[in-house]
Amino acid sequence: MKPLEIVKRVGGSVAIALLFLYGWTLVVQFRLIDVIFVSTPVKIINDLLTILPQHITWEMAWDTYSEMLGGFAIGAAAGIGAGMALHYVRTLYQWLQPYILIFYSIPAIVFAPLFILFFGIGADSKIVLASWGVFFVFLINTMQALQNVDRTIVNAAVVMGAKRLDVFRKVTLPYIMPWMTAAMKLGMGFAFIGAVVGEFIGAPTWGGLGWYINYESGLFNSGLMFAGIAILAALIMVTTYILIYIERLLVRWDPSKR
Amino acid sequence: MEKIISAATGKNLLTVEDVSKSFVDDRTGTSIDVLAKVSLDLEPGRFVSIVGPSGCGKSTLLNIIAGLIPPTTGQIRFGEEMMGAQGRSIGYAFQRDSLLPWRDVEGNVELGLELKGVPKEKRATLASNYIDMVGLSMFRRYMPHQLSGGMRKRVELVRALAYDPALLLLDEPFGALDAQTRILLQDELMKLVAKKTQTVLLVTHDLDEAIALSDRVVVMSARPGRIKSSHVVDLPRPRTSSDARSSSKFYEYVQAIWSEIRDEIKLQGER
Repeated sequence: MKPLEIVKRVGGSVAIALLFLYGWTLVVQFRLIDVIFVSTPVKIINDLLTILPQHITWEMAWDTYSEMLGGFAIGAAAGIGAGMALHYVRTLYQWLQPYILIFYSIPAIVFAPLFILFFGIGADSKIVLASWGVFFVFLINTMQALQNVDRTIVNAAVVMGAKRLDVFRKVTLPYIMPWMTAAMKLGMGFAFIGAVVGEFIGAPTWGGLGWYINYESGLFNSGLMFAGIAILAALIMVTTYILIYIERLLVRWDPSKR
Repeated sequence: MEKIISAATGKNLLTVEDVSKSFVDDRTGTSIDVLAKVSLDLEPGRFVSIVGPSGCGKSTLLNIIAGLIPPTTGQIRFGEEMMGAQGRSIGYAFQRDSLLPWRDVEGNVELGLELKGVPKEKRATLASNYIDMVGLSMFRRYMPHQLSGGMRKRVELVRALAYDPALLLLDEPFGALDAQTRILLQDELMKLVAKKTQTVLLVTHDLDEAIALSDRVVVMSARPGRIKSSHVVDLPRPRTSSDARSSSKFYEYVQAIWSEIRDEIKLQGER
C-alpha cells in the first residue's frame, strides 16, 4: 500500500472516532443526557489514566484474558475433535444431530449459574462458559469444512497412490484450513463473551474486567465503567489483529484472504 | 469386491471384461444401470478414445478402471506393467480442476512423485523437466488461481505424467476450454505422449478431438452404456491436431462415427 492510501484509510477511521467523541461531549454539554449515565470522553480518559498504572487493573485484565484463552483452547480442541468424529462416523451424527441443534440454540448464559455451582466461583466456571460457544463454532465449521472437501482433488490424490493418511495430510487438512481460521476469529468473540458474561454473573471481588465493569456501573461510576470497557475493547482488538496475522500465515494461498 | 488379476492378459495392458455398474438412487431407492457388460482391450502404446452420448457412463468406466469405484459385476485385468508397488500405475486428468490450490505449479506436479516416495531432489528435477515440456518454466512458482484455464490444464496433464504411469486416463480434459486453446493443448498432448509411446484412454464428447488424437475410437451406446462399435483411425503419426483435420480421410471417419452416435442420441431422446 502506498503511504497516501494508508493515510486515507487510517485517517478516515480516526476522523469517525473523533467526530463520535466530540458529538458525545456535546450531547452531555447540552444536557441531552445526564452525565451520570454516559460520562464524557475526557472524564473516561482521565479515569483510564488513573486505573491503568494500578496493579489490580492488569491483574483483572489478565484474569479475563486467561479465561478467554483457556475457554478458546478447550472449545476449539473439543469442537474440532467432535466435528471430525461426527463427520467420519455418520451414525453418530444422525443420533446426535437434534441435540446439537438444541444446545447450539440455547444461549449459553442460562447455564452460567449451573457452571458456577459445578466449577466454583473462580476462573474454572468462566473457562467452561467461554468454551461453550467456541465448541459449537468449531464443531459446525469442522463438519461443514470436511463436507466441502473437493472430491475431485481427493480422487486425484488417490489415483496417484495416496493412502487415507496421505489424503488427510496432503488434501483434507490444507483444504479445511480457511474454515478453521474463520472459526478462530468467530470463536474468539464467543470466548470473550463467555468470560465476561461469566464474571458479570458471579466472580470473586476484583475477579476480572467483567466483574469490574459490572461493579463500577452498580456504583454509577460511569467513567470507570467505560474505562473498563475500553481496556476490554483494546484486548479484543489486539487479539483480532493477532488472529488475522495467523490466518495470513496459514492460508496464504487463499486469494480471498488477501 | 473388485477382482484384479495381474498378468495372464497376454499382450494387453488392460482388459475390461463384462463390466456392469448400477447405482442406487438415494431418494427413489431404484437402481439405475449405468454400464451394461462393457468389454474393452487396450494394447500398450495405443491412444484409444471413448465417445458416446452424454450420460452413457463413459466417465464411470474410467473411474472403475482407475479403482475409484468398484464395478457391480465383471472385472478389470491389468498387464504386468500396470501393477506397480502401490497398486495400479495410472495417471488421471479430470474434467474438473483438481490442482491443489495451496500448492504452486511445481508443488502440484511433484504431488504424485511425493506419494510414490521419490526422493526430494529427484522430484524437483523431474517436475521441472515436465514443466519445461509444456512451456511453463516461467510459472513454476505461480499458484493455480494465478494461471489461465489452459495453463492449469497443462499442469494437470504433466502432473498425471510426471510419475511415469503405464496408463494415462483423460476424462474430457479440454471440455472447459475455448476452441483455440483446446487445439493447442491437443497438440501438446500429442507431443507429450509421443515421447514415450504412452498408452492413453481418452473420454470425450468432441468427436473431432477423438479422431484427431486416437489410434482407435470406441463408440458407446446410450445408457446403460455398452460398446457399440470400434473404429481404427488410420492417420499417419506423428501428427498434429490440425494435420489430422486437413486429411480427407478425417471427414470420412467423422461421418461414419457421427451417424452411429446420432442413432444413440435419438434412442436416448425417445426414452
